[in-house]
Amino acid sequence: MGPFIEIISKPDNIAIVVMILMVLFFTFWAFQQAIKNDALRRRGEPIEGEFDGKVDTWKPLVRIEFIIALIVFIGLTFWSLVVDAPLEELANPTLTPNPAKAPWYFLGLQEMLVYFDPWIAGVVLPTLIIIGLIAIPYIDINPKGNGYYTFSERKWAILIFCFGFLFLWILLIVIGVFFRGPGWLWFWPWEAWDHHRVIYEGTTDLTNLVGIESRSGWGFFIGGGVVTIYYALGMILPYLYWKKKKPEFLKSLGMVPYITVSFLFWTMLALPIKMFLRLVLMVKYVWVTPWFNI
Amino acid sequence: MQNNMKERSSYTPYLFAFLSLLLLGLAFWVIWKDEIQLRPWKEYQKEYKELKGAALQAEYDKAKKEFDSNGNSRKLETLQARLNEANNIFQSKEVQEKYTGLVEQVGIIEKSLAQNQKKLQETRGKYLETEYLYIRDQKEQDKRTMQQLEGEIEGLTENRNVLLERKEALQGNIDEITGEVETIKAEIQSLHKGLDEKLAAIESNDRISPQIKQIHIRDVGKADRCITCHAGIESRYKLSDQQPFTRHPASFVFLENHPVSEYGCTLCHHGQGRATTSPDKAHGWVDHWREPMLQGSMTQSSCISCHGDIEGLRGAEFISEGSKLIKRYGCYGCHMIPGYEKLREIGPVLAEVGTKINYSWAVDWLQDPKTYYEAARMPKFYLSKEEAESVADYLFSMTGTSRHDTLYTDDDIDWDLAEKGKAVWRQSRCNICHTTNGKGGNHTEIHAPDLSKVGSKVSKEWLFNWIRDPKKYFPETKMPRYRFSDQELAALVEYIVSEFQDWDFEPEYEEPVPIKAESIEKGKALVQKFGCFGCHKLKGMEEMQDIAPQLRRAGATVAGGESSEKIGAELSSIGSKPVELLDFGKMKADIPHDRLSYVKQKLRAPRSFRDDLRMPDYRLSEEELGPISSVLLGFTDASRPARFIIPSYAEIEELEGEDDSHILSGDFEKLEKDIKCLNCHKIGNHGYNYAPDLAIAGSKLQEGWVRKFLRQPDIIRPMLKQMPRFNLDKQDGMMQVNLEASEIETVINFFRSDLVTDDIPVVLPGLDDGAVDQVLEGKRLYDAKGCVACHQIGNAGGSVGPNLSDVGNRLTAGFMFKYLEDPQRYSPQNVEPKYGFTERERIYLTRYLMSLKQDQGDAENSETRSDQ
Repeated sequence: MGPFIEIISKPDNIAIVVMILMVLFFTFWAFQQAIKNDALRRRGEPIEGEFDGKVDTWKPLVRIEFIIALIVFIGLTFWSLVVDAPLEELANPTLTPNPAKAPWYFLGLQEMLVYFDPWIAGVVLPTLIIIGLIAIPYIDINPKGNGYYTFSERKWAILIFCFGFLFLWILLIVIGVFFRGPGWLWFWPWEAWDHHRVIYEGTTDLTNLVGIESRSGWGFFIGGGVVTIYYALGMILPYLYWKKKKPEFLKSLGMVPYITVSFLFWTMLALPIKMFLRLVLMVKYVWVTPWFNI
Repeated sequence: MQNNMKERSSYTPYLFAFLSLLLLGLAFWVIWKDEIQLRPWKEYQKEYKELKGAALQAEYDKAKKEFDSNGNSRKLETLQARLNEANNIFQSKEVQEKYTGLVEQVGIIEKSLAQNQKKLQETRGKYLETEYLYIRDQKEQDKRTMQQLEGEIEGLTENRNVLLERKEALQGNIDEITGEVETIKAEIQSLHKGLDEKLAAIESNDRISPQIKQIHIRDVGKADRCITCHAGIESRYKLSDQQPFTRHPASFVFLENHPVSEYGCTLCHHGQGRATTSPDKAHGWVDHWREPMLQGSMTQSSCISCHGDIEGLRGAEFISEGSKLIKRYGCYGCHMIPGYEKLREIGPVLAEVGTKINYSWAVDWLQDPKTYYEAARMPKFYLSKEEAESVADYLFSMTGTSRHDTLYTDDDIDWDLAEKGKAVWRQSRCNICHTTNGKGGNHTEIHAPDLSKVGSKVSKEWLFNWIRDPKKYFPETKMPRYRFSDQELAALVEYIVSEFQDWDFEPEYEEPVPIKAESIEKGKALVQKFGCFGCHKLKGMEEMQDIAPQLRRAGATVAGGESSEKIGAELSSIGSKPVELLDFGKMKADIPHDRLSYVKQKLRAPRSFRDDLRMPDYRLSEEELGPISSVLLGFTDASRPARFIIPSYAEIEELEGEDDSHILSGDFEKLEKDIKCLNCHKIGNHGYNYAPDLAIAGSKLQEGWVRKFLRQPDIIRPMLKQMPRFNLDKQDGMMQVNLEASEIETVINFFRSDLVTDDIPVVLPGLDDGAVDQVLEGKRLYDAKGCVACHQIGNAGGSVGPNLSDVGNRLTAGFMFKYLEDPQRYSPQNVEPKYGFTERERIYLTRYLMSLKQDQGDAENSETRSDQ
C-alpha cells in the first residue's frame, strides 16, 4: 500500500483526490434527492423547488454565486499557501519523463489511446464529445426536471450521462492517475512502479482471429463491414422497437435528432466494447484502413 | 417558492461575514508567509549583525581600555587645556579684528574671481563658436574675431592669476592666525583616530538593514545568493562556529585564489544558489535539483572543471589521492576517462606468460588474486575454477600446448649461490620498489609486483632472462636493467627462488597435461568478454578495441565517438549524468538514489547491481571510495569560461608544439631507458617524486660529486630513501661486460647541457669587505640562526634537513646562494623557513658551507654509518 499512499499524497494529485470525493458526494446527493422527489411525485405531493414562474437574478442568484465565489477563492488561496507548485526538474529533450502523463483532466483521453489509434482517440472522439455537448439542447426534448432532482422522469438521460461521465470520463482519469505507471503499464495500488518491468502482450486484429489478414482486401472489407453493421443495427433495431411501442416519441424527436443521438450513443458505447475486445480477446483493431484504424 | 428564497437570505449575512473573516485571516497568513516564513535570511542577517556588533563593541572596549591605561587621558587633558588657551588668544578682540578683516578681503577677491571666471567662460564659448564657423566657412572676418577673443582670454587669465596670488597671500595670513588652534585640534584627532574608526565601524554596522545579496557571474550564468545568509564567509573575524555564520575554512587557499566576488559559490559547491526561502532549497537538497551542494573534501571534485593538473595542487589533496588511485587501479584501461588517455596499460604483457609462470598459480590468481597477495591490484572477476582454467589455457596456448608447473624444492636449491644472491639483492635495493613479506615498497607509485611468494610463481629461466633484460620481454616495463654478470644473475635468481616461496602452494601439473582446444576457445571468449586487454597487452588482441565490434556494441553506452573503443562506460561526463540515467539495476542493497551513492556502490561492489555485469570487483576499502568518486564526479558537462581554465602541463606543452617525449636526448636518453632514472627522479613534468628533482641538477650539483655519487651512491638524507647502485663503473668490481665508464660522462654531460638554469650564477658575486673572514662570518650566521636544529654537520645537529658535512663537495656555490634567498624557489614543498638574508649574509653563509668538505676517507665512514 506504500506506493499507493505516495501517489495519492503527491501534490500533483490533490486535485484528483478532491475531484473523486466531490463527484461521489454530488452523485450521492443528487440520487438521494431524486429518490425523495420521485416518492413525493408518486404520492402526488408537491416537490420542493418545482415552479413555473421566474426568480430575480438580483439578489437571489447573484448572492449565491458571490458566496460560492468566496468559498472557491478561499479554498484556492488556502491550497496555494499549503502546497507549493509541484515543479519538476529542468526540461531535457533527451530525457523525457516516464510515465509521460497529460494534465489530469486529459488523462481519460490518454487512456483511450490504449484502445484506439491516435487519430480516433485524440481527434475524432474529443470532437464528437464537444459536438454532443453542443447538441444536447436540441436532442433533449424532455422538459421535466427543471429546478428539482428526479430520476424516474428522465431515466435514460440520467443513465446515459452517468455512464458517459462517471465511467468513461472520471473513471478513466482515476485509472490514468493511479493505475498507470512507467510505460503506461497497469500497476495495482500495492505494486511499486518498476521502471524495468517487462510485459508481453501479443495483440492481434479482429479479422486475424478468424484467420483473415487485417491488412488484406478481405480484412478491410470484413472489418469495415463489422463497423457498418454495428452502427446500422444500432440505429435500425431501436427505431423498429420504438416505432412499435412509442411512435409518438419518435415523431416528436424527429429523424435527424434520432440519428444524431443514436450515432453518438453507439460511438460512446464503442469505447467499453473496444476495451473489452482489447483486454479480454487481445484485439488491437477491428478495422484497419490505410488512413485510420478502429 | 418565495418563502424558500427568504429563508435562504436569512442566513446569508452571517455566512458572508464568516467567509469574509476567513479571507481576512488568510490575507494575514499570506503576508506572514511572504515576509517571514519565506525569508529566513532576515533572521540570519539580524543575528549576524548582532554578533558582529558585539565583536566590534568588544574590540572598541578593549581599545578604549588600552587607550585609557596608556595615560592617554592625561595627554588628552593637556591638549584640551592648550586648545582652550589658544582659543582664548584667538578670541581676543585684537586678533579677531585682524582675522575678520582678512576674511573680508578674501571675500572681495573671491567675488572678483567669480566674475572673472564667468567672463572667461563666456569668451571661451564665443571663441569655440567662432572657431567652428571659421573651419566651416573659412571667412577672414571670423579669423579676426578669433584672434581678438584669444587676446581677451589671455588678459582674463592673467588677471585671474593675479587675483589668485593675492588670495593665497591673504590665506597665508589667516592660517598664521588660526594655525595654533588647528594644530592642536589635529593632534587631538590623531590621538583619537583608532577609537573613532572603531566607533564608525560600529555605527556603520548598526545601519545595515536586511537585504538579499547576490553575486552575478555573467559568463557562467550564475547568480549566487549564498552570502545573504552566510554573511561572514569572507570575514576576518571568527564570530561563531554556528552555521551560517562561519568563515570559509582554509580561505588562504580557496578564497584567496578564488575571490567570492569573481567566482561566486555554486561554481565549486553546487547547490541552488538563487534559492533563499529555506536552507534545504538553497543547498539543493530537494527533489529534482540535479546538483546538490558539495561539502567538505567532496567539493574538491569541482577543481577538475578548471584545473588541468590535480596532483600537487594545494587544497586538492582528496582528489589528488583519487587520481593516484585511478592510476593505481588503471580504471582507464576499460573506461574512457579524460586526462588519462595516454597512460599505458597497468598490467604486465601476457604474450609469453606460459613460459613465465606456473599453471596452477595462474588458475588460483585468476580466481582471486588476493589469496596470493593481499594488496594485489588485479580485481576479482568471479570466475569459476573451470573458467579460470580456460583463461589460463588460452594464455598458455600462446607459447605451448600443455598445462605445466615447475616447483623448486629444497633439493633444487644451491644454498651457497643463494647466499651470494642475497648480497646482490640487498645491494641492488630491490626493496625500494618491490615488497617482500610486508617489507619495503617505499616507492608507492611504481607499483612493482610483490615478491613474497614469487618463487612459487615463476620459473628460474624466465626470472634469469627477465632481470638480465626486462625490456626484451616487456618493452614498456618500469624495471631498470641492472648490469649484472651472469654469475650475479644466477645467484640473485637462486636467492629469490629459495627465499620467496609459498609453502601452501600445491601444483597440480608437475606432470604436463595437454591443453584442450575447446577450452582455449572458451578462454579466448572470456578474455574478450572481460576485456583483459584493457590492462594487459595480449598477443593478437593489441587492436582488440577496434576489431571486436561485438565488444564495442556491448560495452559502449554512448553511441559513436572514441568512447566506443573502450569496454567500460565512458566517464567523461559521469558527474553530469542525470540520476534517472544511472542503471540501478536489480539493486538489493538499500542505497539512496543519487549520483554519489551510485558511483560509490559501483566501486564498492560492482556486481551488486546485476550478477552478469562485467566490471570486476577491486575490493576497494571504504577510504578509497571517496577520493575516486570525487574525481569521477568532477568530470562534468559544465563548460567554464576561458578565464577560469588552467591547462595542464601536458596541454601547455602540446599547445606550444613541444614534443612531450623528448625531454631527454641523445645518449642520456638511451641510458635512462635502460636504468630508469625517472622511476625515482623528476625532470620537469616527467618522472616521480621519490628521489630529488633533477630539473636544475646541472646548476645545483658539483660535477665531481655527481661522478663520485654515481659510482658509490651515498646517503645524503637521513631517511630510508636510497639510491641503488647501477654498477656504472668498472672500478667497482661488479661490472657489466659491455659497459663503458663513459656512461657516467653521458650523465654528467646531460646534466651540464640540459639540466641548468640561468637563474643560478656560476660564480658568487664579489664582495668588497676588506679583511673580514667570510667563512668565519658565515659560521657565525649559521650558529646564530639555529641551522643546527635541522641540519647535521659531523655528528652534531638535527635530522630534518640534509646532512651538510660534505655539502661543500656536493652543491655549487651559486645554487646555495640562490637557495638561501628563497628555499621554496626550486621546490615549493620545502620546509626550510625563509630567513630573509641579505645578499652579503648569503655570500658569507655560502662561503662557509662551501668550506664544509670531507675527504675520501670520511665519505667511506658515512657510508658505513648508513648501513647500520
